[in-house]
Formats: sequence, structure tokens, C-alpha cells
Amino acid sequence: MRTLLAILKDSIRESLDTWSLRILFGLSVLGMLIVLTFSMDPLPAELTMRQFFLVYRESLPLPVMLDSHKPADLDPEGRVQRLNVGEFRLVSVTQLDGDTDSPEGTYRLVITTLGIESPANGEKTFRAALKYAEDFEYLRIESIEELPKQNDRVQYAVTLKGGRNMYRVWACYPVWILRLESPDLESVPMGFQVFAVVTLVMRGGEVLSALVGVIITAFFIPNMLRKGSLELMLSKPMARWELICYKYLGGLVFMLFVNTFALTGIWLVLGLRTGFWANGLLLMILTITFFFAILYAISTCVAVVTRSAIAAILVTVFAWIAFFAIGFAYQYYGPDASARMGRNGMAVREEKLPESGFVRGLQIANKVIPRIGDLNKLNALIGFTDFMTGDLRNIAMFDNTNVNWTESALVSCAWIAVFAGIFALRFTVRDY
Amino acid sequence: MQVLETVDLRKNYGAIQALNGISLSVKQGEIYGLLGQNGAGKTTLIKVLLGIIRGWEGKAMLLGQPAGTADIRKRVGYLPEDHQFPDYHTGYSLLDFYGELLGLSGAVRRKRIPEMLELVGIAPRMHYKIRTYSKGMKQRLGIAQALFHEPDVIFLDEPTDGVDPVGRRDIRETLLELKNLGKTIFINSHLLGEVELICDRVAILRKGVMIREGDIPTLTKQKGQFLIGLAPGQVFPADAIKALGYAAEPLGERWEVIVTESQSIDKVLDLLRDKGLQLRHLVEKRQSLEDLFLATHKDDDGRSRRRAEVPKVVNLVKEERP
Repeated sequence: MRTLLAILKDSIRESLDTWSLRILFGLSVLGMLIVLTFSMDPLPAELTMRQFFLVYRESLPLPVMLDSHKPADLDPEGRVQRLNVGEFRLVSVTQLDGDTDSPEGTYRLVITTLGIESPANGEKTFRAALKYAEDFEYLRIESIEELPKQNDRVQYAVTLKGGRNMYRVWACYPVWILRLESPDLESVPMGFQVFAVVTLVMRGGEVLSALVGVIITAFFIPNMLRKGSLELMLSKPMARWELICYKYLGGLVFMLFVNTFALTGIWLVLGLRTGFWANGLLLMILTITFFFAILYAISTCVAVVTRSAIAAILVTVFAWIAFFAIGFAYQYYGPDASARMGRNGMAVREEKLPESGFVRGLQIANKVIPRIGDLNKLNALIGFTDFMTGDLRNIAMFDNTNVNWTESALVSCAWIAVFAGIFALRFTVRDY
Repeated sequence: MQVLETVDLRKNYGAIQALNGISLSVKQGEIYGLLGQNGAGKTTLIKVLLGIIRGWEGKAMLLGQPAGTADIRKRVGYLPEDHQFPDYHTGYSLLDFYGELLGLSGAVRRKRIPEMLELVGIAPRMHYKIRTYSKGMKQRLGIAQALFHEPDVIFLDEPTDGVDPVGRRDIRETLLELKNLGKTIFINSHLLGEVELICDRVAILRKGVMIREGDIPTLTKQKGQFLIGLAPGQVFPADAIKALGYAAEPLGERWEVIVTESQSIDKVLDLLRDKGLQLRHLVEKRQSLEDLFLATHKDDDGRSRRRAEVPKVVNLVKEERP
């Protein structure tokens, strides 16, 4: 244990001394600043309510991105059926309590029917239309009161209480990085903005972090293997496998620190800026580090065999591209291919491809390589769960029906174990 | 007590025989020097003993146990040749790191590190990054890390390389103090003068084979060559001695008499006494360790012979100039 701690401390010291950690921390701070410059200023309740009804009426895919629905709620094109409140028009909104931009306040809405003449039918239809919003705890109908007809149209005064998930769909100024305004959008729901940020962090940040991490850590092992340096380490009372495995762990701890700093920072900035605590980001520290562990096992193995940092970087990046390509091909052409992203982001069933050598090859390759695609799905699940409600499984990007999590985890862990075994064995038997 | 023992030790790198049947033993409290040209197998021998290289044949024991085990390495200090310390460390943090690997407690490390760095003369710079150290300072740090955990056996590969004369003297004194404390020290060095000053015994390796081994007085003794000096004003009877069958050549104010295997110096001494000459100086001639080393490698590839001839050529050229 003392040896492990000594080597971990040494790895941290090594990374602290070089520019590597500063570069990664700098990039992380840059990411936090970018998130900080997102406006996300909430709009007043009236504008939000108008948008809420507008979104409902148009059945835009936006709420689909925000939340998912059971298949029964959707038409064949993936549009939300039961949420259509197009028979109503919002006349006015008055906030009864809470701040003007508070999602959980109480609101009095005056609505008028567009085609419904019977007051009883109007109330029933309205309640049915907002059932979805109640189910997902956006809004709760406190009361519906019939008002005198206006221009022969039935009017209601509806008292709504914001639910605990209302902030997900609360409209915000669509001002993005560095307060650049979007010319097309008047407002964007909070949830979607955070969704965009987390997507950016998850897709861009993960790739950037892993790539920079691979480049920086690729030098750790070759530096230790330099003549005159290695002899000093090998003359110490520890087994060789311990030394190399602990150095590997040192690289992982280094990346764990960096990921923790970056993601915790972004989580904090996002939370303080929006009140939206995307806790999944914190879990992603582990998944992103796990992904790096797979790549670093390859890098360490190549470094032990070749003593070259450049070779380690090239082979690792090549392996990464290969994993991605195989996973991508398997998802779309493999024997289990069944889900693709529809134009509205919904899962569309496809016919299975016929058996062929290519498909069989893909199947075998996919069995033995680390499941990067599954890891991305896992990241999506834990990253988006905080601001998504409903049944996530029915959006293709969250479609986990074909994912065997146990197998996926075992294959990825086995991959690390095999490479760790190879580099430990090689390091143990080689003369230096 | 034998601290180190090898018997018929062999190590091949492919077709190259790095060690070819090395047998040696070192007692506790000895300073043992290992000499040889580059590639003679000196470093390989140390690496075998420390378990840094594998796949050797023969027997190698260190401190009564098979060499190269982790347990044994706890009791061994090692300074490799051309060492490269991680330059992100300071002198202090490096010793702290190595001390932790060696299993020393934090309290012991905190106490010993400043003491050790003081001993080798770099305490004032102990909190500076190693990359700011001179070569001599790095060498002193190397000595410190090898001695820091108070090992029983210390392997030093070129310990005074790059160190100034004062530093070399300090290191010599430190090693002699350690010897007095019963530590066993194993030195590889090209600085034969240094080795001669501190080593009790030396071995000379050539192409993986031990060609000479013994204590320094024995090795440097030139058997059969005597220097004889008489009282002032007396004439050395060279002709009479030559008539007895001995070779005799003047060497400054003295004479060098060469005694063959079948002869004895006693006849020469008897002659001098018979002639009433007063003997003032009689020593069996010695050579320096460097002379011995060059002599043992003379027939190897001719390099040492050529090197010895260079001054003569230069002299001749000088003489020809007007």
C-alpha cells in the first residue's frame, strides 16, 4: 500500500511539474467560463406560459428532446398526440405568488376555447390535454372556473401551480456562448439549454479530455523507462508488476483528478447559474475515467514494448478510431441493428440485415472490443436523467434494449485486464 | 562473513557473452573494486546481483540469500552509471520518494534526509528542483540516495564521475567511514587512482571474464623487479652483477635488477656485501593500478599499446623540428 501511494504521489508530482496538468486545468477552466457565459436568464411567467402553450399547440419536437413519451402517446411520425391543446388560446397570465420568473409559483391563466362550445367539454378537454404536464410534474391544475363568454367563445380562469419539474421547460433567453444571440429563437426552455451544455461536455469534452489525456500520459511510462532512471526504480524492493501497474494507476489517478476538476467545476457553474443541478455530470467523472482506462491500458502496453511515447499515442488513437468504427458499423449494420434515430429523434424499427460474412465479422469484432457505443449510451443516460422525465428508453439515443450492460462492462474490464497482463508480463521478464 | 558470492556466473545477450563464468566473493566490510573496459561486464554483474536483469546462469548470493529478490534489495544501495533522476523532484522529495519505496517511515525520512544531504554537501539546495543541479551535485545526490536507508551493501557505478577533486575526497572519506561501520561497498570505476586509494580488493574483467583478482598490493607488485640504492658515493657493481647472469639497468640514482624465475635476489645482495657496499634502498618494484590495468589489456586489441606509443611519436616529431 505504501508503495502504491508513493508511486501515485510521484505520478501526481510528475504531472504537476509539467505543463500537462496546467493545460488540462486550463481547458477545464475555459469550459467552465464558456458555461458561465451562457445566459439562461429565465423569462417572465407570462412569456413562459405562452411558449408552453405554443410548444404544445405546434407539437414541436422540442419537448420530445426534453422528455420522452410512451409509444402510445405518439403518432407514427413521433409527434405528441395527447398534448395538443391547440383548441385553446391563452388570453392572459397573472402570477399569484412567487417571483416573476419562478417556475414553482402559482399562476392564473385566462384561456379561451377555439372550437368548443360546451363549457363541460372544454374543461374536460383542457384537463385531458394537461394530463401529460401533470404526469411529469410540470404543472398542477388547482382549479378551473368558467368565465362569461367573450365573443361567443367559452372562457376559463385556470389556476396552475408550477410543479417540481416546471423549471425544465421554463423559457429562457436563447443567448448562448459569450451572449451571442440566436436570430431564430425567441426563447429556449431551460432544460434544452442544459441539455445542450451537457451534450457539449459529454461529446466534445469527453473526446478532448481523452485525447489530451492519451497524449500527456503517453510520456509517463517512457520517461520511467529511460536508461539510468529505470535502474534506480528496479533496484527498489518491489515487484516489477507492482511498479508498472502502479504507474498505470498513477496515470488513471491523474486523469481522475482532471476529470473531477473539470466536471465538478462545470456542474457547479451550471448549478449556480441556473439552479439546475445536473448531478449526472458527477457520475460521468467515473465513466469518462473508465473510458480513459481502456485507452491508457493500450498506451501503457505499447510504451512498455517500444519505450516510445509517439508510438503509444499513435497506436492508442488508432485503436480508439477502430473501436469507434466497429461500434458504429455494428450499430447500423450488425445483426442486432434495430434502432436508428428518426427525424424527430424517435426510435424507428428497421428490418434486420441478412446474415453475411461482413455482419458475422462485425458481430465477432463487437464481441471482443470495448463497447464505446454502450459507454456513450450510459453517459447519455446518467448525463441527461437529471433534466429528463418520462420513459427515456423510447428515444433512440437512450434505446438500451440491445445493450447487455453486464457483458459490456465485462468485455471492457477484460480488455483492460488483458492489456495490463501483457504489459506487466513484458515488463517483468524483460532485461533493462 | 561472505556478503557477496558468485560462482560461475554467466549471462548472454544473444550471441554476446556479457559474463562468462565469473566467480568472486566479497567479505563484510570490504571495499571491492571492479575494473574493466566499457563492455567488460561490470554493470551487467551488478544488475544481475540486483535482479535488474534476468536469465543468467550460475550462482549469485547476496547477504546469504539468492541475489535479486525484493527483500534483498531493501538492504542494498545502488547508484547506477549515467543515472537520470526524475527532474520534477527536488533533492529532498526524491529521497522522500525513494525512502517511501524502501519502506522507511515518514519520521525516519524527515530525520535522515537533511542529514544525508548535509553529508554529501547539497543541503542548501535540497528544496531546489533537480534540473537546476550541476552534474556534480546530481552525483552527490546519487550517493545520498544509495546510502540514505543505511544499506548493508552498496553498489556504486562510477561514483565520482563528474565530481570535483574536493567532492571526490569527501566521497572517499564517506566510503571509508562506511567501511569502518562494517558496510560492504562494491565500486565500478574507470578512475583507477580513486580505486587504488580506497579499495581493499579489485577484480579486472575483460569481455565477461575475470582476468585478475586480489588485493591491491599483491596485484601491483612487479614480481622479479627490484630497485637497489647504495650509500652516497658508492659505485654500483653493474658488470659484476651482469656477470652473475642478472639484468641490471640504471634508474636515476638507483639500479633496477631483474630476477628471473630460477634466480634469487640473495646472490646479488651477497655480492654487494662481499664488496663492502652499504645498501640503502631495496624494494620490490610496484606498478600503479593503471599500469596493471593497461598491461592486462595490452594484448586485447592493441589499443593500450598504441596509446602508450603516442607520446614517443610526438617526442620524435618534436625532436625533428628545428
